[in-house]
Amino acid sequence: MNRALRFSPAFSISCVLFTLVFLPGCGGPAVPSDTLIYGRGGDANDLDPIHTDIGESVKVIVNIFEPLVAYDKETLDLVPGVAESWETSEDGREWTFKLRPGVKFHDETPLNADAVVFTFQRILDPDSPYAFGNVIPYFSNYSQIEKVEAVDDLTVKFTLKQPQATFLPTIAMFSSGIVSPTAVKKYGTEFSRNPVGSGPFKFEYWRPKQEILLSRFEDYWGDKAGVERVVFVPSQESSIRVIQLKRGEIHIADNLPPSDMDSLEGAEGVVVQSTPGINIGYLTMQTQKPPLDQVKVRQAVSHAIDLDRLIDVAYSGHAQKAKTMVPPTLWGHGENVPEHQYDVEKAKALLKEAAKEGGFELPVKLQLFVMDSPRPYMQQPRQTAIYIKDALEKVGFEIEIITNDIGQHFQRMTRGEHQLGLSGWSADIADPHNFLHTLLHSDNINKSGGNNLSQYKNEKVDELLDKAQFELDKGKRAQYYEEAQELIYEDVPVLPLVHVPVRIAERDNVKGYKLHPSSQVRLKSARLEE
Amino acid sequence: MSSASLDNVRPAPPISSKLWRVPGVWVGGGLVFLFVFAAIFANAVSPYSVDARFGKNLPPSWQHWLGTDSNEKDVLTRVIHGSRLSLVASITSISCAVIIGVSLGMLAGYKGGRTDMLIMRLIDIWLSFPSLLIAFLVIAALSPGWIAVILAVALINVPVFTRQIRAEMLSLKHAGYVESSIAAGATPFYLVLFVFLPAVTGTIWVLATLGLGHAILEVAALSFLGIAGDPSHAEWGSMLVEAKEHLAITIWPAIAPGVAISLTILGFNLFGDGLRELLNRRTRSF
Amino acid sequence: MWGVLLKRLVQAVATMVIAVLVVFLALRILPVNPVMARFGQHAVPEKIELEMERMGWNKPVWQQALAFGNQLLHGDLGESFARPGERISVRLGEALSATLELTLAAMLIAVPLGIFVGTVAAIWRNSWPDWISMAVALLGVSVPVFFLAICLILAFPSMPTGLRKPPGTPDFHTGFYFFESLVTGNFRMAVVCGRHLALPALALSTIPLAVISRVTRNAMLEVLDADYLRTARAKGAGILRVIARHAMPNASLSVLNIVGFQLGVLLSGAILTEKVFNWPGLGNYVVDGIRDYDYAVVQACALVTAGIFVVLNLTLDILFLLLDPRLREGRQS
Repeated sequence: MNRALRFSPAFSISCVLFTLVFLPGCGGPAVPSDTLIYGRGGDANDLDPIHTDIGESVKVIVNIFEPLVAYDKETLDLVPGVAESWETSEDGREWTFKLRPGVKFHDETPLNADAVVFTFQRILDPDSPYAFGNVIPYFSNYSQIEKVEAVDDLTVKFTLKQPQATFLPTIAMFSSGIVSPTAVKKYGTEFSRNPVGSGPFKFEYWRPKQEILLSRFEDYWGDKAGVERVVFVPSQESSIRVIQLKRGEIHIADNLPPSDMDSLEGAEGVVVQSTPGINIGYLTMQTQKPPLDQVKVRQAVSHAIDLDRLIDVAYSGHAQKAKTMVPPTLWGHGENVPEHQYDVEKAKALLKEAAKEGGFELPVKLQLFVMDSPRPYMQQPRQTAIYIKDALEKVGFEIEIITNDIGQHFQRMTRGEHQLGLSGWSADIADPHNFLHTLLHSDNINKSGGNNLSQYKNEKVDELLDKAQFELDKGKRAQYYEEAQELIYEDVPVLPLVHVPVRIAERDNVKGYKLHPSSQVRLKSARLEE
Repeated sequence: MSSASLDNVRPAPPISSKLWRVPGVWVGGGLVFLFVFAAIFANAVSPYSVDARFGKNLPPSWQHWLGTDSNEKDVLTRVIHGSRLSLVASITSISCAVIIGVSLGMLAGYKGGRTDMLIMRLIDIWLSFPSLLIAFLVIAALSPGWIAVILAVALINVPVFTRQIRAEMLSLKHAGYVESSIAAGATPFYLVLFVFLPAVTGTIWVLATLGLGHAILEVAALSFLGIAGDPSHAEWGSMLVEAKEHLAITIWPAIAPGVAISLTILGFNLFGDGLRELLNRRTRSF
Repeated sequence: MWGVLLKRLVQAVATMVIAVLVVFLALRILPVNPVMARFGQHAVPEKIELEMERMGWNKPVWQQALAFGNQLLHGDLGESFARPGERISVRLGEALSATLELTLAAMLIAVPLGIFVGTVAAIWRNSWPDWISMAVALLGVSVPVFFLAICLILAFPSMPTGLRKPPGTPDFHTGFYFFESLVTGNFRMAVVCGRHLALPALALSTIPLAVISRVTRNAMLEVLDADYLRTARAKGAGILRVIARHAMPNASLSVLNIVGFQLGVLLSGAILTEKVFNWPGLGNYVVDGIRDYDYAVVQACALVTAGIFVVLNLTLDILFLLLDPRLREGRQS
């Protein structure tokens, strides 16, 4: 009897461990102070600026690397960065940049004209030994650059094939971030895991799927970073990021579904920030395949969908109704384009007419392609798709939703396999060209990677977009874009749905961090208060 | 497991007299019946039409016993309708698995030798992957949809049947009455159809019932991982994955399909176990 | 006996080779271009072909397979394509140790508890402790692990979820955070890591727990029914004594078998648990690999999971040959 009651040591140890482990609040984490923890939905794939287009990588890259030209603290205006000043030649083909003296990379290498030339050679030179593979997502943005040369130690000259309005914004992109030539040569392909730039934060280490650690760069040329260390933490489940933020395990959480943001708005110790995003979420319609090759069918789709209700259901009201592909926060937005009309009766009538003309029967069967994971412009793709399906089925369509993983989704749509499809675009550069040309110019119909998913071809629109691209006068460009948008509205190759704001939630002891309209995550100004 | 001892000469007691001693069959059967009933009469039983919209994430109330989900739809209605897809998908896939698995198992057990070796190696390779990896690849290759899901789940479940049937075939071949049939010159066709198949029917039933539980789990798991058919169709796995993102707001859309999946699987498991117990001591199947 | 073992070894290697080959071919027939997938929404058509050529993915499949085989023979698993610069062997090591730690923790819960529950059920056969434990076991195999995980997160609102350790805390030397801090005597950290480990391990342990308790019960019952134990009981030996001295050792073989089997299932099958808890293990690694169409990663994972399966089976075979004298001869069938 006695024996049975006596606990074995192993048993008592496990008892103690068990209680400790499950006791709430016990064993507070030993996190070093002055460390900002940034929780996001996924991990980076590559920290080399030229080889990635993934948002989660960009968030880290913009803190490590700096381009020649930077965005203003609060607006989309371009201000001096690593380059102190710049000037253009008369014909707009030559750009000369004066570099800031005394700027150093994290590895002590001086940032000079040679480093800048080296950086751009990696992108432009197809045989460069320091470009690691051919996956350079923003390659076409640089295609107008003819050559880059060092004039003297602190002067760089770019020569363009023809004057281009989007050149300077391209130079301000994260992918133009200046890299340390010594580090690239030293690490080779491993540079993607050992990035060295000149930004306010220095890369420390990266545990895949667990954390990326950056620390303050003490020799930074400008104002130094407000916190000593930054940790980027991936937690895939948004609900878990919410829990982590509420408990204070992370300081900032981004990419949360809108309804969670609403519940966080009232939570204690949590502050919510928001800025209009430069993006568009839209419904693409394959214009080359029946029955959507008929404009009346496309109009019927457009009139059947109540955008206000869609925004309520899929965005909890936190999105802006779109009327054209260019967001209203950007210049060149088509002011004169009519508002979207929700009219079920009209949709029904249009569809009936089209059915009679085209000789097909109701209900019209369509496939709707949906991605399986959220994007900044499409925060809840499934809800959006289900809403659209329900709406369209009311006017005489029959919809089958096809869910694909993100890779397959866009590939199948570039091949034109869809009829309807959810898609969207976040601005690479703050210019209407980036929306209209990329998404609707017929040059971008290409089975291996064109973004004109609707396969829309209108010669007048093409002509206007071409003219706007090589015109330097902003007023004239705006005029061309306005006209193009009106033509596009008539043809309905796409149904613009929403412009989605960028929203984050942060602990109230995070000070000084303000969302930038470009939605770049620049943590330099963030501070932690006790 | 249920390798029946074939030389057992003791006459088996009639099945009905034992039925009451195995409560699992009753409870499990009841649960399964409940969900089958719900599936068949979903339209009559559920309070609303399956695609009616009411309001987002409403808490449970008299109008909506389990509240509504993030698509503004009634959770109870969706769960009831969800039993259709879950049951149809799992029954179809297990039927496929039975056909493939049993044929392979019989072939291996009957032919023996090289054929047997080949088939069993194949099964080993099959088993050496996590089943979800197989499913992933099958679905990606076929382009996602319910058909692909059903096929993938069928493939995952084949090895169980093959292995068990082969094992029984091996002992069957040496059973007295089989040997005498062979000696009497029975054709392979006759043997398979009238000798072997009846002998293993009991095992197939037991395995299939248990397999149905697995299949429901696997279908739900695949939707949970985001690879499934049309998400607007009521299906438990996709309901769960949808609701998981909104746990901070309402838990009912997650709890309801989760409990439904668990209860169905429990039902099949209980029923299968009971069946096994019932059939175990009988030499021939019913 | 050695002949048997040798034959098994050859079979095992053959199984692995064919398994990897199957995955290799399956990946090549997927209707997706991996280079385009990596480009995302910013594909540059003229660069895609170049990259396909650089990676050798334009070549006939058999040439690719030969190249891959050659690479494997040199002990090189290659580099990830979707995550450039990442050596697969390194990352696989991290993922494997994360999964191993999780699996071991789950087994630490499941094995003792399972044996205990099974024994209790066997002793009080056909009375309420038996019914309760077997009902719980049935429930354990019936509740989907991803649903259970959600319930656990809801039930323990103060437990950390989604990471292996608090972000920003010092790095570890090995991939075994909990066990490393235990061994190095950093108990504070061990508790912290243990808290991160607890819920995933608990969720993962239910199925082995259920299976082990059932097997234990059945094995025990078989032994308890044996005539010599009836005699022993009749002679007045206490039930505990009978269990400890006779039943336990005899039942241990079947329990060992099932533990080994479950270990294999868990190691390669923790995909769902890892997904819900965002555990950076093998399951998450392979799912991400498939989603990124990262050929080399999926192939390497296939190799490893097939390897785990084969090695575990082989180990069990050997153990049985050594432990069970009955099997030492003529286990040919």
